[in-house]
Amino acid sequence: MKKAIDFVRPALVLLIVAAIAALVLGGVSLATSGRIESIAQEKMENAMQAVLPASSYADTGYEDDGEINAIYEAPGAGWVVQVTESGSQGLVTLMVGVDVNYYCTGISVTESSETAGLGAIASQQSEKGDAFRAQFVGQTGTVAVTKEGGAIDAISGATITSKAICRGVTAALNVCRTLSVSNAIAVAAPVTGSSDASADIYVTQTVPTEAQPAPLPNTEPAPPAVNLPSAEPGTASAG
Amino acid sequence: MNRKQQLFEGVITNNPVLVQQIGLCATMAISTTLFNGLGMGLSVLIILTCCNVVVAAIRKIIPEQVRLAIFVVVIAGFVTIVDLLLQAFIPALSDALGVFIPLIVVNCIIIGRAEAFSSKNSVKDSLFDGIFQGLGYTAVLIAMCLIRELLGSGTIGGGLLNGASSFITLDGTGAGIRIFPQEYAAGILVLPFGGFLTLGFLYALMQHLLSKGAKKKDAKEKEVQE
Repeated sequence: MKKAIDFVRPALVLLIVAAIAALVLGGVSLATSGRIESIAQEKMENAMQAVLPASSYADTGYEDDGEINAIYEAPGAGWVVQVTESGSQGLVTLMVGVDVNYYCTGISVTESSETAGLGAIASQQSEKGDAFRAQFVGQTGTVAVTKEGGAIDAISGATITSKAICRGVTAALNVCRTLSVSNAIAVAAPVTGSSDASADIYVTQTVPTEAQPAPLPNTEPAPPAVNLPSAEPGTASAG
Repeated sequence: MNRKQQLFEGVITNNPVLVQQIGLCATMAISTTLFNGLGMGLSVLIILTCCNVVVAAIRKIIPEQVRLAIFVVVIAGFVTIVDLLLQAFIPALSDALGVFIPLIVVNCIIIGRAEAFSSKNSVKDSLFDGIFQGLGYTAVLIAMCLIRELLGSGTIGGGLLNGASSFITLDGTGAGIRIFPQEYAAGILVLPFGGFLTLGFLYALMQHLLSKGAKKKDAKEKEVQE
C-alpha cells in the first residue's frame, strides 16, 4: 500500500501546483486583457491618424497575405495600409498612408526590433527618425533608397532596415492601385460602416472588371517578403 | 544568515552573470539601451524574488522526483503574469523587450536559484536571495548597457532620458543624451557581436578584481597566523 502512495503523491502535488498556477493565470489574464486590447487599438488609431488624418477608418477585410496585413479605408481621403517586412533583426510593421492619387501621405513604424542606435532610429521619436520618415511623404510608384536609384536617404548604418521600409511602402502603394474601383464607390456613396463581407465583394470584383491599372513607368512588383524569424545568436542558446 | 554578506555575494562574489555565468543570452541580446537593460533587470528581479519565495514556501511538500517540473510551472506562471502586466501597464517596455520576457522562463538564473538556494532555505532567506541576485543581474545589465550605448551610439540613457524638453521619457522613445556624434561611434558594439566583446571585458575585469581581493585576504590571514 505504501508503494502506491509513493507513486501517486508526486503526480498529485504536481497536479495541484499546476491547477493553482492555471487559476491565477486565468485571473490575471482576465483582468488585463481589456486593457491590453484597448492599448493595441489606441496605438493603431494614433498611427493611422499620424499617417492619414481622417474622421473614420473602415476595415476593407483584405486578407493577410504575409506582407499586406490589413487595409483601412478612409472614405474620400485614401487608405491606411498595415504592412510587414523583414528587417535586419526581425519583422518591421508599418502603417502607410496612401491618398486617392496613390501618393504616400506618411508612414509610421508600429512594431520593430531593429538594432538600437541604427535601425531603431526608423521608429524613434527623434530628429533623425522624423527626418527619415518625412522623406516618404509624396512618394509614389516604386520607392527605393538612393543607392538603388530611389529618392530615400537610408539611415546611416541601417541600409537593410531602410530598404525594408521602402519595400513596405512600395507594396502598400501598389496594393492600393488594385482597390481603385472600391474607392470610386466609396467616394460616390460613402460606405457607411462597410461590413467586412461587402467590402470583400468590392475587392474581388475589382480585379476582373477593371483591367489592371496601367503601371507607372517605374512600377515593379515588390519583392516578396521573406519572413524569416530573426536569427539572433543570443536567442539560440538558452543562457 | 548575514544579510550584508548575502548582498555582497549576490552582487559581487557570486554574481549570477559574471561569476556563475548563467542567464547570458538575454544579457547579450538586450543590453543595448539603458531603458531595455533596466526593464529587463527589474523584471528578472521581481520574477526571481516571487519564485524564490514560493519555492521556499512549498519546498517541504515538493516530491524529489517532480521538483524540476514544479519549479518550471511556478516560474512560467510568474513570467506570464509579469508579461501580461507589462503589456497592460508599460507597453513600451513590453515592445522593447519583446520575446525576452517569455524567455525568462528558461533563464538559468531563476531555475538555478530555485534548485541551489530556495529549495533548501527558509522563505525569508530566499526572499533576500532573490532581491540580491536580481540586483547583481541588474547591475551587470546596466554596466553593459552604459558601455555599449556610449561607445556604440554615443548616447547615455537611451529610451529613458531625452536631450530635449522633457528630460525623462518613460515610454521608451527618448533618444538619449548625446555625448559625441553618431559618426564617431563604433556601431558594431550595439550588434550581438559587441555584446560578446563587452561581456568578455567585464569578465576579465571581474576576475582581476576577485583574484586581487583573494590575494589580499590570503595576505591578511598569513599576517594573522604569523
